Parts: sequence; structure tokens; C-alpha cells
Amino acid sequence: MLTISTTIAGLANGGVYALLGLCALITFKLLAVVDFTFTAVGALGAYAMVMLYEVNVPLWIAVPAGIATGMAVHLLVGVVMVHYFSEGRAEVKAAVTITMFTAFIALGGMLFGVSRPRDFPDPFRFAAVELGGVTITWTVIVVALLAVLFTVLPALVLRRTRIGLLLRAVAARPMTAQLIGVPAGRLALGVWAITGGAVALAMMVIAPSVPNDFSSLGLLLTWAFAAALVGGFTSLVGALVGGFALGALQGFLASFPELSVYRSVLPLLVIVLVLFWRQRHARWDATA
Amino acid sequence: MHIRTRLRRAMALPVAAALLLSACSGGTGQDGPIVVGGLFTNTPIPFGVSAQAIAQGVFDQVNAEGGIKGRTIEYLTADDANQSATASASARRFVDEGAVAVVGSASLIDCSANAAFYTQSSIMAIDGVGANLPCFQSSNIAAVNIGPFNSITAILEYSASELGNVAQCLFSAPGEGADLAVAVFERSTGQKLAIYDTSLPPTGEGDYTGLIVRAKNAGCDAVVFLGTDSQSVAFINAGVSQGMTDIDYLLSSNAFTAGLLSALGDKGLHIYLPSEFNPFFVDDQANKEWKALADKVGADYSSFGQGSYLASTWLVAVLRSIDGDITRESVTQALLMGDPFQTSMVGQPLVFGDASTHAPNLSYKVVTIAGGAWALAEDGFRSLSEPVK
Repeated sequence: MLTISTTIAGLANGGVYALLGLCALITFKLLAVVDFTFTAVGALGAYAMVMLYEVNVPLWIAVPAGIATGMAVHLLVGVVMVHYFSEGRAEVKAAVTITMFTAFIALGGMLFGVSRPRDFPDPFRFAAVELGGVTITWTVIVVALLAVLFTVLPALVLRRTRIGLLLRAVAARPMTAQLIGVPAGRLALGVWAITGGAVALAMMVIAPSVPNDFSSLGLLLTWAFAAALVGGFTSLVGALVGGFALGALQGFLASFPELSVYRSVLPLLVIVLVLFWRQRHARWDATA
Repeated sequence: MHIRTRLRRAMALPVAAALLLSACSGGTGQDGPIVVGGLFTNTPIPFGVSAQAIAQGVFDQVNAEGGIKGRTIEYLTADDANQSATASASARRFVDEGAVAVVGSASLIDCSANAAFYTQSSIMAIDGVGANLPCFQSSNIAAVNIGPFNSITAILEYSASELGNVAQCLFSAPGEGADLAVAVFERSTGQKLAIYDTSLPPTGEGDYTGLIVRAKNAGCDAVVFLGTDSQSVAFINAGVSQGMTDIDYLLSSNAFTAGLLSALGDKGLHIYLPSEFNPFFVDDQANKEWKALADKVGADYSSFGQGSYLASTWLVAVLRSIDGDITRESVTQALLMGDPFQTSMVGQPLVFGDASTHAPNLSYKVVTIAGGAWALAEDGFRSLSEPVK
């Protein structure tokens, strides 16, 4: 019974990993960049919101201001990436975003205190349902719904709209797309801005239920990538399922005192196994 | 060429002898300033910044009042950047430059990196903040705070004796210190913890609901959570979501911060933690002088600042008590003699002495949150049954 309860608790909170995993994946699918800055950008947006909220600015102003901050900062990252590294190799782009991530974490530490927690508003904190002895709050449900939205919406945009078609063209063959008249640079900048806003919103919803000092929010990056990797960094549904599965596994392990200590390690081991499984048909001697 | 080599050899001996003598004696002669070292971890996290400002403030004040027997105090400080190599190099520089003692330090790495070197150099360290177990296991280091592990025993003992909690559950990161602290508690009270879980990852994790569900299932009437303030807030919020609002939440002294208060102050929960000194939010005679100094140097009110204030004022008292020359030997000798240093910022006189390990402060006050502000859970200091070492 305890195992079921802790697994349910973990599963419910897996929405956090799923939501962030989807943010990682969406940026990758639309921009072909493994973006290491996005959790720090989201944290900057969420912190902009909470700083306003702390001086009694109403949420209907603070939340859009936070989203706008996320958009502006991610746009700034986008400007650097588009102007200087659009023709760069994937590993160079990733390295640039890692550097920027480190800078953002340092900047956030200076602006907001290194380990100072904040009182993030949690309008959905009330109990929604009791499941296996675990209280599920509306916050958990909102995070899960947002994760589903982040799975469905990008898929619809990419498949069903003209702009989605153009985005796919830009992500796959930026040069070719540009040659046939697609405004690749502007489209990419738009995507950088929108994903920045989305991840800021995600962080605002997540922040009340996790250690929410600036660097802890930024370091949720590893779990986000872990969730995205379950989907092989290609499948939105995979990342959604991956996030919830990671949470469930952590919860499951928490009920066993002797295994509990491995709960932050084992999920990563599972990712490695998943990757091996997915690559089982790959021929190691084949050239890429 | 031959003559120059002979000349160099001839000069090398007296130069080496002079260097050796100055290194051994400490101080920069009997008329120059009294050199004192202080090591702080200020990057990558600003752990020791306020402690350093306060200690410097104490020595500046002494110098402004004419110094000690006409000699000023020169405070050599260094940021060890949480790197062992930097900490070792800094300690060696202090000794090379004639420091008579190392004082006021607030470093995450100093004790583990330098304890052996301090012993070997016969130099004493009075730390403002002893951050880990080696600070309490050396013959040459005395930290004025009770330390993270004594804090665990302290809050468990208070919870059992004053709050009447029987089923206590503890969650912490793995480590020898927590094991020793729990062993002291179990020995002194005869109680066993209902859950003793040392599985918290040091970097924190996304969700604590699984642990909360376990605590709920075990019927814990008090949960001890040993993490940063940020992790403690997330843990308690998870507890509140699961309806655990009537139990006692016991935290470590490093969660005694403004951030924790602003995040949990208005939730009406039962939160207790040990303060290693007379708590910084209290405006009384005991806190008057260091608060005035903190205001003067622009430092936050924090227990780190208190620790470094205590350590530096203790050293100043020792320096004033020395009759003859103030050298490393005479300072070390005075500390070994163990004259008590009277202060109302802690619950007992501080004594260095010649024991093989030091825990000069075993007193603490328990603080809680009431009406959105920090409050004393009780007026007086409590004392630990025995130190963790």
C-alpha cells in the first residue's frame, strides 16, 4: 500500500519533468538546437513574476510580465544563435548554450540570492482528489494539463499549419529554406521568443512545489533532458510519458528505505537502458 | 662566476635563518602590526561574506581605539573559492606572513584542508562558522558555533523533551555527521527514530511528496528535515499539500533565514529550529554591540556574522590578556591555558583549552515562527547532553 501511495505521489509530480522535458524537445524540434539555457530562462521569467508579486503587483500583470521577460531573454539567446552560430555544428551550438546557461545561473544568483527560496503564488494549491492515500492538488492537475497542452499544441502546429510547415523546413534545411524565400532568421527568432515565454509560464506553475531558489530551478535541466531522452529527443508523446514515468519511478523507490538513496540515480540508469534499447538495431560500424 | 656563487651561498644562510625566525615567531616584530588570518568561502557562493565584513569591522574598531598595546591588528583574509588547494595556499600565506592566529573564518573547506597544517604550524584557529565535522575534530581549531551535527542532536532532544514527540522521523543527506548526531540523541534519550532516512541528494530533488507519504504512513508526530532553506520550504509545502499541518517540522540551523520566513511565515505551521547564538532577530543587550557593528559595516544580521563577531572579540580579549610579547607562541599558549571568555551571546563561557578536540559552545536557543515572524520558543539557552565528535 505504501509503495502504491508513493508511486502515485511520484507519478503525479512527474508532470513537472514532463512539462520541462517537452520544453526542451520543442526547442530542439523547431530550432535544431539542444538548448541548455531554457530552464534558466524560465527561472528568470518566473523570478521576474515573483519579484513583482512580492511588491503587491497583481498576478494578472505579474504573470504576463514574467512571460514577457522569458520571451525577451530567450529572444536575446536566439539573436546570438541566429546571427553568429546558425551555420555552426550542433555541438558548437550546444556548447554556446551551455556557456550561456552558466552565465544565467551566475546572474540569477547575483540578482536574486544564491539559495534564497521565494514565496511563489500557488492559486491551485487546494486538494482536488484523494488517490491511494495521496492528496492530489489542483496544481498537480494544472501542471499535467499544461504538459498535455505542450504535447498536443506543437504537434498540431507542426502538422496542420503553414507556419508549421515552414518551421519544419527551417529546422531541417535552414539554407535551402532561406533560398526558396522562407524568412528563416525571423521565424527562428519568433520561435526563440515564444518558447521562452512558454517555459517561463511552465516555471511559474512548477515553482511553488519544488525547491525554488534560482539555481535549483535552473538545475531542473537534467530532469528535463532525461524526460526528453526517453522520447529519443524526437517524440513529444515520448517525453510526456517519460516525465511521468521518471516521477513514478522516483516515488516507487522512495518507499523502500534501502533503495531510496538511489532514487536520484536509478532514473538516469533507466534512461541509459532506454537509449540502448532504442539503439539496438543501430550498426556501430555504420557511418552516419 | 665562482665568486658570485660563493657570495650567493654566503648570503643564503643568514637570509634563510631570518626567514625561518620570522616564520617561527609570528607577528611582524614587536612594534609592527599583529597579523591575524581569516579564511572565507565567498565564491562561488557568498557563504562567508558577512562574516568577513564583521570580523574586519571588529579589528578596525580595535585599531581606531589605539590597537593593542600600541600595535594595530592587520587582518589578512582570503577567499578559498571552496577549493582545497586555494584554502591550503592561503593558510600557508597566513603563517608565512607571521599570523599569530586564524580567526573569524567562515569557510566550507578550511577545516578539512588545513586542520593538519594548523597543528603542524602550532597556530590556533578560532572559527566563526565551523561548517563541517573536521572543525570539531582538531586540537588546533575551535569553532564558536555549535555546528551542523550538534544542531541535529539539539533539535531532536528539544523535540523529545519539550514537545513530547515520540515518533520522530528524520530525512537528511548521507554523512557520518548525521549518523553520529542521531547516535548521541538515541543514547541520551533512549528513543529510536521512527524513520532515519539519509537518502536526500545533496543537490536537492524535484519532489518530496514520496518522503512525506512515507512519514504520514509511519505516523510521525515530528519530521526533521535537514536541507537548505529552499529544500526545506519545498519539503514542508509538500507536507502541507498532503494535509500534514499539525505535526512539528524541525529544521537545521542553516534554514534559519529570511527566505524561509517569507515563504512559510503565514502558513500557521509548527516549525522549530536551533539558533547557535542568541538569535539575531532579538533586540537585547546581548545583541546590541554586534548589531551596531553590522549596521556600521553594512552587513546583514545573520548567525554567520554573530559567529565571526564572537570569534574576533574572543581573540581580542586573548591578545589583551597577554602580558609579554604578542607572538604566535604566546597567543597559542594563552588559548591552551583556557581562560574562559565571558559573553552573553551564547549560553556558556567560551574556553579553548588543551583538549584534543574542541566544542566550546554547546548551548542553543530554539526558535519558531509565530504570527509571520521569528520568535523564541523559550527564553533561556539549552545545553546539549554531549557533543558530536
